Amino acid sequence: MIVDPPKWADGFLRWYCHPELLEDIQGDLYELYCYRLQRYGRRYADVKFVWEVLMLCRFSLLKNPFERKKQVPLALEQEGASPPSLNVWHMPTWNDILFETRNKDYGAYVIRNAYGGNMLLGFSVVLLLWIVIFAWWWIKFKH
Amino acid sequence: MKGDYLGELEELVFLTISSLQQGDAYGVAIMNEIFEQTGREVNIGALHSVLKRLESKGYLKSKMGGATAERGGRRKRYFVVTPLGKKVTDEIISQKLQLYERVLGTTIKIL
Repeated sequence: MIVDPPKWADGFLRWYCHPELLEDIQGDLYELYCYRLQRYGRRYADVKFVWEVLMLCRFSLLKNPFERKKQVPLALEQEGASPPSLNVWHMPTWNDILFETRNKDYGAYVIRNAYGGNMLLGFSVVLLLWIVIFAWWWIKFKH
Repeated sequence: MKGDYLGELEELVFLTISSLQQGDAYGVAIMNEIFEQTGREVNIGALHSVLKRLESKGYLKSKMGGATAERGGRRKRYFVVTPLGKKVTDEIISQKLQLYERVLGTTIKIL
């Protein structure tokens, strides 16, 4: 049987509903719609579907617009993929790095790639500064 | 304990899930069972809100089941009572029984 509830109401549900809850809520609504369609007809089923979609719009079921989506590169989903380097997929921000380090599977590699690079850069700058200051002191006071 | 008590609808939904066979408790089935047992029509939004709250309290756990054509290929989410939930059920029943015993003035025995 083809389930064909009002599209705008279905789209509205998809827009506001939390993605983790959407599948089973939508399934329940479709099942009820299907039952009402057979028993009471299209008009009644449509009206009830729209009413229920509007009544479902509750704070506890809403999508959180501030929730960060877990960005797992496609290559990681393939078996035997090599550990990720953040630079390959996108330019990381500090928030990205902090978010990715929490991952149990590849958090350590992220720390190595991101923080390791930063530490090397920092060490190089300090070393360069030391050489410059030492050279300045050597020229100024020794000769 | 504060925050552990159940509201009226929460208790109704929770007891209905406990009474359903394991692996049968999903949204529409719970709604139908409540209607059959109490004659009360529960809104699907209220039901899902309550289910989410009970799951976050740790009284229920859920798993995704199979999809059917009448659900437009969407899977069902089946709910089962956790051991903590079972303990809460026993507490609810014993509290209610104590109160009824005080009202009736006799001892009620569960067969």
